[in-house]
Parts: sequence; C-alpha cells; structure tokens
Amino acid sequence: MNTSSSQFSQGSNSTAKQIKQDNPLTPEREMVRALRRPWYERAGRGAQVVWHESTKNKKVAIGLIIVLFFILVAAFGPLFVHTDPNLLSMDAQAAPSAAHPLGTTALGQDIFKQLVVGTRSSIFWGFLTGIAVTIISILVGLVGGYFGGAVDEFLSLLTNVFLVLPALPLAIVLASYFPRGPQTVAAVIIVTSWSWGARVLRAQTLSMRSREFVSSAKSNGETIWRIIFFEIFPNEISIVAANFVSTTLYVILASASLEFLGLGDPNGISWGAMFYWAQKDNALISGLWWWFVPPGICIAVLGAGLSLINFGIDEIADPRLRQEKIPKLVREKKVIA
Amino acid sequence: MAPNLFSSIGGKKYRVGISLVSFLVIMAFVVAACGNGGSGSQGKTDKKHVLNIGSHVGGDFTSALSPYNPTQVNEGIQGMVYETLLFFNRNDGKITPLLAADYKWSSDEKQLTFTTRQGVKWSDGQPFTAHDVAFTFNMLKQYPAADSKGIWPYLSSVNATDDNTVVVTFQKPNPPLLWYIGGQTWIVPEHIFKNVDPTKTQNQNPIGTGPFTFNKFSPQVLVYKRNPGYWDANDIKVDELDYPAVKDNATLQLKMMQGQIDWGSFFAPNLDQTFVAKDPTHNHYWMSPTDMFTLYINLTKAPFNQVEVRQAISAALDRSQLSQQAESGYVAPASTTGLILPNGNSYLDPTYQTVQAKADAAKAAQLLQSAGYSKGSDGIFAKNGKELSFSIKVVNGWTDWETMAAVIKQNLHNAGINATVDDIQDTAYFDARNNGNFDALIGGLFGGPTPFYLYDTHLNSVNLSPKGYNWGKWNDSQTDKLLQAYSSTLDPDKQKLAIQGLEKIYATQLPNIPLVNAASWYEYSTKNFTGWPDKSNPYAVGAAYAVPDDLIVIRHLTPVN
Amino acid sequence: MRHLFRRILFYILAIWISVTLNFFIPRLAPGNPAEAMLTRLERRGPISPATQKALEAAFGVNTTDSLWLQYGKYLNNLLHGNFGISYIEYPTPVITIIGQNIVWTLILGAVAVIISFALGCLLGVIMAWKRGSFVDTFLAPAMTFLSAIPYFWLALIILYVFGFTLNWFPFSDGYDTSLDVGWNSAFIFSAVYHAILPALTIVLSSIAGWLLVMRNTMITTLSEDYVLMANAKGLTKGRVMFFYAARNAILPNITGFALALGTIVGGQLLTEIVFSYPGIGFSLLQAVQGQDYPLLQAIFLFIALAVLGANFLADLAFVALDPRVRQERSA
Repeated sequence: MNTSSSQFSQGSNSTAKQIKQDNPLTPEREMVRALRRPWYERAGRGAQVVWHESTKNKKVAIGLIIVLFFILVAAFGPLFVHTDPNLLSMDAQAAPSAAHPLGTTALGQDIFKQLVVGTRSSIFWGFLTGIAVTIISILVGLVGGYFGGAVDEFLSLLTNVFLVLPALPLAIVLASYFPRGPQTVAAVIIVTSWSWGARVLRAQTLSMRSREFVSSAKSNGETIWRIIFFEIFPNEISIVAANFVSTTLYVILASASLEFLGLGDPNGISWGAMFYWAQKDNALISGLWWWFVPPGICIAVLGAGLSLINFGIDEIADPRLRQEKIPKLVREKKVIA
Repeated sequence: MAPNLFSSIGGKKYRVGISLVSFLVIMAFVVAACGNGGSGSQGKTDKKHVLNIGSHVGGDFTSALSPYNPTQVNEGIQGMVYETLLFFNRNDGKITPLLAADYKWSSDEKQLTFTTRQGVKWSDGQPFTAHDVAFTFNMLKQYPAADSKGIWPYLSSVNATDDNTVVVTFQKPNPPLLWYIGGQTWIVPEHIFKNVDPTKTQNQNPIGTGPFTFNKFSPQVLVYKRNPGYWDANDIKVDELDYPAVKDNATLQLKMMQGQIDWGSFFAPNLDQTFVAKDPTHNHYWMSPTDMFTLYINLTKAPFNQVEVRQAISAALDRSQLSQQAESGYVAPASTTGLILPNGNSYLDPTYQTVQAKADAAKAAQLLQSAGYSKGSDGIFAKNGKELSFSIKVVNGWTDWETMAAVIKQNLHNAGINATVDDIQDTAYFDARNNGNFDALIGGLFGGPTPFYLYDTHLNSVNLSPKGYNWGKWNDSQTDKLLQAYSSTLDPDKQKLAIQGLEKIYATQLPNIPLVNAASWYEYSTKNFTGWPDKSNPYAVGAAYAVPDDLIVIRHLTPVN
Repeated sequence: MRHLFRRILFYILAIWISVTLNFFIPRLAPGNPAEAMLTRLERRGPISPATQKALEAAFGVNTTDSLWLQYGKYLNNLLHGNFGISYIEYPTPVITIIGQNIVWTLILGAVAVIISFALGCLLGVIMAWKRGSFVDTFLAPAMTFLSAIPYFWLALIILYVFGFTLNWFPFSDGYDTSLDVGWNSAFIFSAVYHAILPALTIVLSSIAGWLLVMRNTMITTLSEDYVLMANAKGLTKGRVMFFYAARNAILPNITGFALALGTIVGGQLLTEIVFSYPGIGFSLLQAVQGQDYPLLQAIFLFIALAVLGANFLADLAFVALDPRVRQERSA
C-alpha cells in the first residue's frame, strides 16, 4: 500500500487532472539546486528548459505548430478579406467552388471569409479569456497560499465555492441576462472557470512557502509581493503554462457552446456564431455540410493542438511518461514474459 | 483495513467490466428488436385514422385544459373541444355559422342577436342552450383576465332571452367587434364553469361541444378521441388526434420529413428543398398571409418625425430580398398601404396597386436631400453634422427577424443610412417596444378578417403603447376619424371608403414601414389525409395553432385508404 | 471531526451562494416573466392589457414586496421544500417538472458516464501496457482530437448521420410517445433505443479524459517496484496488469468518477438540447428563456446538490483510500 501510493501522494487535490499538474518540473535534486539561484536566472533557465524540451518533444512541437498556425491566421488572415464576410448575396447555398472555397450560407455569405475572420475573434477572445482566467488563478492561488491564515481561509473558501458551482448552467444563466456579445461570454466564462487553477496554484504555493529560498529571501528583507511574484511564481511556471493551455481549450469550447445556444452576438463573426446560424438555418437538413463542418474541424484541430502541448508539458514534468523510456520497459516485459 | 478496501475496489472494477459487456450485448439485442418493431408499426393498417399534429414547439405539456388559461392553452382545447359561435375566414373575410345558427344586427347597430344551433349536446350529454352562451360572456365580465380580446369595455349586457336566443347589447355601435365576440370567444358549459375561475381551473376533464373529446394527458403527448355525439358528426372522418410535444422546429421538421407528423406549423427556411422535394406528391406547404412584418420607427424622436426620412428608409429597402432571404420567399413583399395582399385586394385603392419591391437608392437620396441632408465623405447622409444613424432592435433567436435586420442594415447602408442591429432578449425587446425606448424595431402588424383590424390595433390613438399596440406612437386625428367611420357602420361601401382613406395615410405618411407579409406557418402531408386548405381552396388558415381554423380544417379532412 | 464540521459548513455555504445567485441574477434582467409569456402568446395575435395583469397576478410578480423580503420568503419556502409553481408550464408545480425530467437525465447520464469510465480505463490500461504499439500510437492522438471536438457539434453530426440519414436510431424524445410510461418491455426497449445516440455522444466526448489519465498513471505505476516485483515473480500478464498495476493506477480516476457523477445533472445539457431528450438540461434552458424564476431556482438547487453530493463522495473516497490526505487537508 505504501509503495503503491507514490503517484497520488500529492493527494490534497481531488481530481486526477490536478495530480498530474502537481508533479515538479524537474527532478527534486535539480530543483533544489535551481531554487538557490536568483529569480531572473531561474525564470530564464525555466524558459530555456521549456524551449529546449518543446523542440525536443514531438507532441509539444506539433501542438505549437498548430496553435501558431491559427494565431497567424487570426492575425493576418482578415487582412486578405476585403469585403464584409456577413455580406448577403443572392448566390445562396452554393457548394464549395473556386469562387467560394467553402461554399456559401443560406444567405449567400462566403463561408471561407467568415471562417477566416471568425478565427480572429475566436482566437482573440479565447486567448484573452484564457489569460484573464490564468491571471486571476495566479493572484488568488499565490496570495492565498503564501499568506495563509484568514486571507487563505477566505480565498480558498471562495475558490471551493466557485469550484462546486455548476459552470455551464451558471454561464448560461448569466449570459442570458446580460447584453449579448463576446465580452459577456468572456466575462461569464472567467467568473465560472478561474477556480480550478487557483486551487492547484494554492496547493503548490503552500508547499513552497516553507522552502529555504523563501525564508532566505525574507531575511534579505525582500517585500512580500516580490517574494510571491519573483521568488515563488517562477517556480510554478510549468503548472501555470499547463493551466493556461487547458483553460484556453476549455474557454474556446465553452464559448462556442454558448454562442451555439444563441447567447453570443449573432451579428458578430466567430466560429460559434457560424454554428448558431448553420443550426438555425437548417444547414444539416439542407445538406449544407460545408457550412457546419469547417468551424467544428477548426475547433477540434486547435483543441487537439492545445491538448498536445498540455500532454507534452506533462511529459516534460514527469519524465516517466516520456516516450524515450519505452525500450527499457519493453525490454523488461520481454524478459519476464 | 487498507488491503480489503483495495481488493473490493478491484472487484468492483471487474464487475463494472462484466456488466458493461452484458449491457452492450443487451443493447445490441434491443436495437435489433426495435428495428423490427419500428418497421412493423410504420405500416399502421388498422382502421383507426390517427392524425398527428405538430403545433406545440417548446417544453412539455401541462394539464392546462381550460380554454381561458391565461398562460398557455393546450393544443386542441380551443377548436377541437370548445367551439365559437361563428367562424371568420381571415383569407377572404367570409363568416360561417358554428354554434350560432344565425346572427342579426339591430338597425341602430347597438344590439346583436344570436340564434343558437339546435340539437347540440355537451360531451357529457347535457343539452347546449343560449344560456350557456350568455353565461360564457358574463363569466368574461366577472373575470376580466379571461377577456383576453378586451370585449367588455364596449358591451353593456349579454342576456339569453330564451333557450335559443342571446342578445348582446353595445354601449355604442361597434360592428367590427363581432369577430372577437362570435369568432374568438369559446363557449363553455354553465354547469361546469358556474363556480370556477376560468383562468385558474385546471379543468382536468374538459366538457365541450366540439368534434373531439380529451382522451389522454402526458407531458409528451395529448390525445383526443372522436366525439360521436358531435352535432355534425358525419363530417368528422378523423378518429384520433395526437399532439406530440416537440422541442424545437428542427426536430419538428425532421419528424415531418419522416412521416411521423401529418400537420405542422413551424417556420423553417428552404422548405422546398428540405421538405417538399423529399416527397413531392405528398409534402406541401401553404403560407397564407395573415399578418405583416414592419419596421416600427419611434415617431416621437428626431429624425423619424420627418416624413421624408421615413419615406427614404422605405425607398431604400429591397423588399424582395427581405422576402427571399429572411422568409425563404414564402410571403410576398408588403404593400405600404398596410393592406395584407392578396387577401385585402377588394379594398385596395388602385393608386397603390404596385408594391415597391426593389430598392430605389436614388429616390431615397432625393428624399433625404429634400429633408436637408447631404452625403458625407464616408457615404452616409448627415444633417447639421449629425449622421443619419439609428439602431434596429430585434429579438434574439427569432432568426427570420435577425436576418431581416441584417438585410435592412445592408439596404440602408447602400442608400447612405447607417443602421446598427441591436439583438436583444425577448423580454428586453418587449420592454423597449412597449415603453417606446427604441429608434426602430422589427415587429408584427396583426391582421384580421378585414383590413380594419390591423389599422385599429396599430394606428388608433386609443391603442397608444404602453396600453395598446400602437408602438410607433402614431397619433393622428384623421386616422382616428376614419377608424371611427368604419366601426360605426355596416355599409360595405362606407367601410371600403374608410379603409381607402387609411391606405392613403399609411402609404404617404408611413406611420411604420411595412416590410413583408407574415404568414401563419403551415405544412402538411397528403399521405394519410386529404382535404387540406391550400391556395386554390383557402377555406381556412392552415396553421394548426390557428383557432378555430383548426376545427374547420378537421371537418374537411378525409383519410386516405 | 473538525474537518467534517468544516466540510459541512462549506457545503451549506456553497448551497446558499448558489441559491442566492439564482435568485438575484434573473431578477436583474429587464422585463418580467409575464412579459416573457406575453411575447410568446402574442404570436397568435394581440392580447388585451388585462391579460398581462392577470399573468402578473398569477405569477406573483406584481408584488409590492421589496426584493429582500421576496428573497427572505424564497429562502423560507426552500427550507420547507416548497419550490413553487412554474411559470412557463403554469400551473404545474416545479417539483413535478423536475420529477418528470430528472429520471431521464440521471439514467442517461449514469449509464453514459459508467460506460465511458469503464471503457476509458480499460483502454487506458491496454494502451499503457502496450506502450509504443500501434494501439497506443494510434489511439492517443485520435483521443486527443476526439476530446477537443465541440460536444454539441459531434452530437448534431451523429444525430444527422445515424438518426436522420441512415434512420437507424430515433433522433428525438426519450421514448416512443405513443407508448405508456411504465415497467413494460415495450417501453423499456423504446427508452433504451432512444438513449443510444445521446449516450454515444456523451461517451465519445468524455472517454478521452479517462483514457489519457489512466494511461499516464498506469505508465508511472508500471515502473513501481512492486509491479516489477510481481513481474519477476512470474505472475501472468493479465494478473499483473489488472491486480497489481491497474487497481492502483485507477485511484485518481475514481475520485474523478465520483465528481463526474455530480456533473451528470447539469453537464449533459447540450446533448439533451440537440437530441430533444427530456431532461433537466432542456428544462433549464427553457426556464432561462422564459424567465421562469421558480423552475430555474429549483433546477439550480438540484444541480448544486448533485455536485456537492458527488464532492462529498469524492472526499470520502479520498479519505478512505489515503489516510494521509486527512493530515494534509487540515494543514
């Protein structure tokens, strides 16, 4: 029993997802050595490790390429679209052709243009919301974890309460009663999803505040904020990164769902708005697959890219998951069998 | 302790695995069994002729079986179970007697006498008499909440003078009220409703005079059985009505396409391709225009109080595009006279025969210039440095309106007017509309058996919002005078004259800007039943939710053998 | 003991916050339920102002009570288990609507979550065991992709292909509505038949999570000494795989499973909407759109209770499985 429990010894987290994120970035020995260095060197080294591992790890590399592709489309794609993608025309329900690479909608709008311009809004709001959620998680998690006492009591109570509030139903209720638009969708998702990250980071900070480098920083007379954000925070970069990636994936899926339900801005251009109109105009019944399928594929591919990055981070964090170890295991198995 | 716990979990996992496998096996059998069962039940060959009606879209049914329930009345209660005195065909204005065998106006038009039909029985066997009719009207007086058409403010009394005669006395002549009194008031039995509030009673066992009796309630389906004691039982060839609760329009359409539903009433774009083309011999639709969609503009606000601006907006609209793209061409572009054509053709002033269907940006520009506007460098008209720009409110989720707003925005932009679309929740829309907090909004104009009803409801100063439906706040003494002239006479020529006066005001002043006709959505399949109303035989409005038209339709249906 | 007390206090607080949010948020919106109802009724023609007053009276929204007084009454009613009357399905009591719908949600959700969990764990174990094999290299990216597909999109495609085009399965409802609800074989078969597509959607979109976590924990477990030891002892492959490695590796997933059970009530909303499946999720959307305060509040209370109940289970499971947790928790 004791031997078996090593992988869930960071047991203060109640889900599997968090457990995998709690694993330290590098093996313990290296970590202790690393923690003695000043913050900028540590952050720099962290970035170096991340970069090195990213390019070495196939999953992260593929994931990064996918995500980068979408970011480039979001940034530059709309520059090549010269007419309003919502422009109506009488050339309706056209199948993909040279003039309309992805066909047209029931109202004669060019789907390819909508997809390209929609990428900007979906990516922009997706990442912005992801960043906002991550920042709130960091603030609440680090402050609560470091200070402890009444502050922590209050913040973790708040975190735990938001953790058990049902996210999607609450988001639907909130989004229904505020003016429609991407801002509302973003705000609603921020409110309902910051607590996961906060909880993980609090646990991590809690375990870190009694470490040697923190007490030495304290005795050096560093300010509390400096300790929190320049001493402790850089050591949690991998968790934050993993959290950011998975949050962004969640945000993109959740906002598409809300927009599909008509809680976004139906006059805006985004992947979710495309779903909404495709569904309302019976795209599938009419056989307009070229309207309904592309935004779904885009989300799935982007999502897969984000997940790959996340798995890559897991593998970096937990060397046992790395593919390189296979031969050894396989050999062992073979010997036994 | 720990090892036990672990082994028990290990055991559980195995059991889960085993039950999973067995579950999958069972599923496979079930699928096979149901596949057979499904094909068997498709060929319903028994003598019972069941009509499946898809008119309830939304949540589950509730046991709201009183015809006067203010929230929602279950499908079939009005019409199939409870009848009206008369039937008004909104397609041509013709009146057919139902529970009233006849009606007569007094010469001063202040008294209306109904002669009730003889030999009619309530479905519990009690005879139907004029006393039930008088009771029903007096019940509406006692419970104003049930008087949803608001007839009592115009009446002074309703009495049964004998078993077959009811006399309705008016405070002042108001013949148009006949539609609401005769055609929209559900006659209920005195012996059941005597001591209940009709808006509150659940009426679990509805007793009516109609051709069907309520048979089975479940939240997912309402079932009605043929009433053998119906006064015109020979005309009823349908044995059973099933009203399934369908959650959304798309599902309803799928069900109709698969033949699970014979009679539908829903809006879906592109029915020609998605519905009719699948079975052209049986699948049909007929969208009879009964109402209108219009662009309400807030007449109390500048610049909309300038008639040239309203005319310019109207000229800039491409109504055929609105019709094609927002309504899939089911309904025609609207006439700016406020007449719903072709139903109102007999009232039409020949001057306004042509409907402006295409956009005329040059005319719009000219009108705006005459109103003192000039085109700015960005192509938008402006006056005193202020651009002609306003917002159009629509209800979120009402996609035909949302599409209309998009088309209007584009049309207006082409004419140098800047419009933004404000897509809001239905209650927010309702609030804004009724309280006049809008620049412009897309809304409905409700029609009736004659054009009078639309003008009266939406232009009469008596009906200024928030009290009534005059949302644009059109307050014009000439309009009121013409409405008064129509409603105080029974002479068709005088009535026509009044209507033509109203047409002129509408077309020249544009109290709001009519867009396209609005239809009562109606799709049907002739696979199991024939005799449906259609363009060549418009004996009733086809929508299954149109009451009491549903009753008239059911009397015309014949099963296919 | 102190820990338990704190947990209970926390649960009460969480329920109170959830209930309070759902009292105030809908009431901050413009309009009132009577207006929402009127806009719906209006599609059939004009309605006199008297009807609006009647609706407001029926719904009790014409009250002169202050919002705080209404809130007090509402809390008091909740404590007495009085959820009130639904507006959109007036005059059906809220509790009846929930009673009708929650069974469908629970059965569909429970079956789907169990299948997804069992299948996911099983595949995860196999993938970890056959590390680097075709199954592993093919399934891992496939599952990654699957987990990133928008849920409702997958549901719609499945509905269109299997329900409508191929006509293998029904595409709407929880059962053949011409049948009577009851414990007869025709109804049960019909209900199962109707549940297959929605369940498939839920399984497909959630299986990847179980699978990947299982695979990763399994891989770490496989390098533990006791597994190597078991291998060395010459135990059969299956025995080592399931009784030594998998049964330990499954632990993190078990708590996840308990939590997933809690999200059943609120989590399959989109599936229910797409498949027109009778259930709490669909009712929730209806209640939101119709500003049906009583129904909305009650559904939310049930969702919150389910989540908290599952949390409690997860807590218990964790404490039972790893006693050290208790010490860390109270730290």
